[in-house]
Amino acid sequence: MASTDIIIGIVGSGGDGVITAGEFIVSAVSSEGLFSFMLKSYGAQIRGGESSCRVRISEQPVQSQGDEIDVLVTFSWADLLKFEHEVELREGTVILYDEDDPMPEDHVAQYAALKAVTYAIPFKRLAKERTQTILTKNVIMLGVLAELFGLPAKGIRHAIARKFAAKPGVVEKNIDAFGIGREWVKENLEKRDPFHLEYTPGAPKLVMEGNAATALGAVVAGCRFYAGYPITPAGEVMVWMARHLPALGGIMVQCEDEISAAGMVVGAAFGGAKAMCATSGPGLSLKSEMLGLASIAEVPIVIVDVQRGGPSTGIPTKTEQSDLMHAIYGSHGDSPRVVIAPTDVEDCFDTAVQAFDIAEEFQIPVILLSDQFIAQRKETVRPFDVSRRAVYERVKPGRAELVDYKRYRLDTKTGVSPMAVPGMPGGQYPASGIEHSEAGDPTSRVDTHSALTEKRYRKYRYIIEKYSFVRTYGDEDAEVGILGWGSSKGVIKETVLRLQAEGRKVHCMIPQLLHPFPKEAFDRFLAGKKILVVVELNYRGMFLQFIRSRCDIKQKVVHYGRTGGKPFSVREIYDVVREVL
Amino acid sequence: MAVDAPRQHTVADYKRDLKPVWCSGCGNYGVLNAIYRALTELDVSPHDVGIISGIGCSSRLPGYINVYGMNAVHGRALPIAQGLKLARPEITVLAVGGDGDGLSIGMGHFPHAARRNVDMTYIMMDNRIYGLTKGQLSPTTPKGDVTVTSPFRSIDTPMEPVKLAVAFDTSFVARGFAGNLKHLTEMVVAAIRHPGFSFVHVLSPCPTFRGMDEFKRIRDLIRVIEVPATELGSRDAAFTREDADPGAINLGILYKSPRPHYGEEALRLRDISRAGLDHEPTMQELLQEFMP
Ligand SMILES: Cc1ncc(C[n+]2csc(CCOP(=O)(O)OP(=O)(O)O)c2C)c(N)n1
Ligand code: SF4
Repeated sequence: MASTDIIIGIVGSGGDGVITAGEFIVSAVSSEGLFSFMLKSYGAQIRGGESSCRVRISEQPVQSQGDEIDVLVTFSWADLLKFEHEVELREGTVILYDEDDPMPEDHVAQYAALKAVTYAIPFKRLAKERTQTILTKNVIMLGVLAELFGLPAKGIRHAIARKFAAKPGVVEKNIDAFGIGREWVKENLEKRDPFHLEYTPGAPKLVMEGNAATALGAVVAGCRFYAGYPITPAGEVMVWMARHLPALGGIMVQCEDEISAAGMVVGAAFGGAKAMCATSGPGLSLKSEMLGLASIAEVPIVIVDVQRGGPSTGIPTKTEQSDLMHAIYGSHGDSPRVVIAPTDVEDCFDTAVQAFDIAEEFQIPVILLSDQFIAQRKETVRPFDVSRRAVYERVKPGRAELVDYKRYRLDTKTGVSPMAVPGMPGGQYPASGIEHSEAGDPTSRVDTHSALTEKRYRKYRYIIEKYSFVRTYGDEDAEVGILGWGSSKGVIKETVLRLQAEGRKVHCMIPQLLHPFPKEAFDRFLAGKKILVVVELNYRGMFLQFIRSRCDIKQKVVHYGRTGGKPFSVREIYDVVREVL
Repeated sequence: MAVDAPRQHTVADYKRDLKPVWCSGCGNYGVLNAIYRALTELDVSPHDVGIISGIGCSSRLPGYINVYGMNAVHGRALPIAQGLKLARPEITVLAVGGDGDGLSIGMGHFPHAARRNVDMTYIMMDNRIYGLTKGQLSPTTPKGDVTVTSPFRSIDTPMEPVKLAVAFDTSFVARGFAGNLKHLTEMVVAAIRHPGFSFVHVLSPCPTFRGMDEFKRIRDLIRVIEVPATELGSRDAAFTREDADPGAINLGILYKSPRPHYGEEALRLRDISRAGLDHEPTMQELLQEFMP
């Protein structure tokens, strides 16, 4: 039977090379033009300890990690047990394990009930006997998978060669190991399962994680200043910037804390640069005073929050959508800011570009609300067009305006006043966190405070007009509507597609701009709906509360929210929606 | 280079119309005047200067100078100033603030600014009290003093900003007094000229919350010294000098640790990272690392 969409899970411990193997598969299928999606999961240990990955491969764009695993490989049953709650198996799942570590007695019945097809393979023995090192067993395993399930062998060899390019002997050894795995299957194994990948090769695609896509988007938008403080799961943004900004003529500063990072970004942006910092929830808390300053002083900055399980340290390596309230409301005073949420890896790139456009055009802080689920997964993406991006530059005062320059001029349509930058003769002004007059002078006059606050909020209307992009899928005239945001998009979209394929009518909307609230788009979506399903990965129901505070919702609402750690599966959302359909 | 070229600017070029909110007799007027004079002497164009402050009476200062200023967030002048300087190396950047601003809430940034060594100047206006919030104990209030939050006397040991700066290996450390305008101006000029992170500790009395005789009390303790160039690089000598006479406060340039500043190092990184490339990488080239 031909498979066009296959999910492979691999489980092992630290030295087993499980993640590397997954990455080779992703790289190989992407180079053949297929789509893939890889999730990693680690135990609590810093290094070593159990690790697992799940790779989904498809000829069509992959929306999510999928549901049950088709093919599971484990080097150790003990490690597998630690992931049991994350690894869902399907009926007829194929399980490959090392002949050294036979299936525990109590599993036999369980897998028999699942009609699992099992293969005991001598991964370790082959590695030791044929390559004189146990280290190659993950690559031997890839050979086995390639032969058994039709994974692209050429692509995997290419990925191996690329990964070990700096160590020639290692390349050969691993290419050999790959061949040994394939050969062993040919000679010893009788295939008893139906999975075999069939596809037409296409042009190679890119492989990226969300954090790198965010960093790349920022740089394409013109960001040349980055300040950061290490925090999981945002660290890769800083690492990428550290590697690339110097050559681009930019600067990456590792700061003493997140307050400093936000401060540096405010200073650089005040100086005219496009500047960004990335963090996770606890770091956003530290930055919130600086957000207030950027708001009142109207300094365009971009802050990325890669959400994780919270509060406090929470589950720092795993995903959650629970900083929504913090991003929108976390502040002292009336402090306007913009919150946008990327929905997948590719969207991390697009929203990063957009974050700078909004910040620069409207001189306002922008929070990019990413999360671990998209930030750290590897995904195949179509090559970005990095060359032709219309990128907005901030309005600067002309010569006439610099005579008796008023930095915070009130009489502009959008509330945006031309912003002078240091070095511009005649543009000198005091920016301040203190309420100020149009010229920037400190004041405690209530009428000025009121007028300037209105000016700063006036921007909202125009931001909504220009940037309230929403994604919708399904039938517009359906009575059941699903609302979600950010990284939940994938599973929601796939749910809708699955329901449509079954002939059921459902509609969904995923807004990109969360704040200021694109009310018109919501009202349009709500019109005609009888039942609303709201999906979000947090306990409190933040998104639902937020929508309720803005829209008069008369529909019956089914709220599906739960704490994070584990991203939603399509099955989960599908079951919720089916209940009301 | 025309050494005797006439100056392009006068003190008036750096003044703004805004009248300071400070009490009469406040030391901060002296600091403001010293900065006017220093900028005039350095003859830097007002539009090429950025002055960033935290929050406090002292931090109101940028509003009174005709430059690009920012009265920002309590304790955070240093990060913002560093960000500005790194993004715009051609701008002359100063950070100013009080002792509470820099040594209490913002203390975490001081050692890191020193170790990063960005080419900028930090002027701490130390009045040994919280002025703006009306007379609370500050990190430099002498032990035993009565303030509104130490009504029975302070039991906290005060910090010593100069010794801290020396301990942090700040690349330039000096002290001045708001009541000695000529000397303070010299200190500020030398600090701005110094390539790297320079720190000027200024004794800037608050008559309102520390009494009318605070000026006299300090004036009686200060002595202007000239540290021999051979001794300027020694931390031990700097500490010994500060501790030598408990009845005296040294004014002058007290310590120097010259080394390449962050901006220069960053340029070196640029060369290293471009090794083998004769151009700035294009966006298309950046995409290559993501090709499978
Ligand atoms: C986060 C925060 N906490 C507290 C304050 C209140 N506050 C304003 S200025 C200040 C201390 C002022 O003392 P100092 O920095 O020595 O400056 P001075 O007024 O004496 O010049 C305090 C506590 C604030 N603005 N922000
Ligand atoms: S309270 Fe003290 S520090 Fe503040 S302005 Fe008055 S005298 Fe100066």
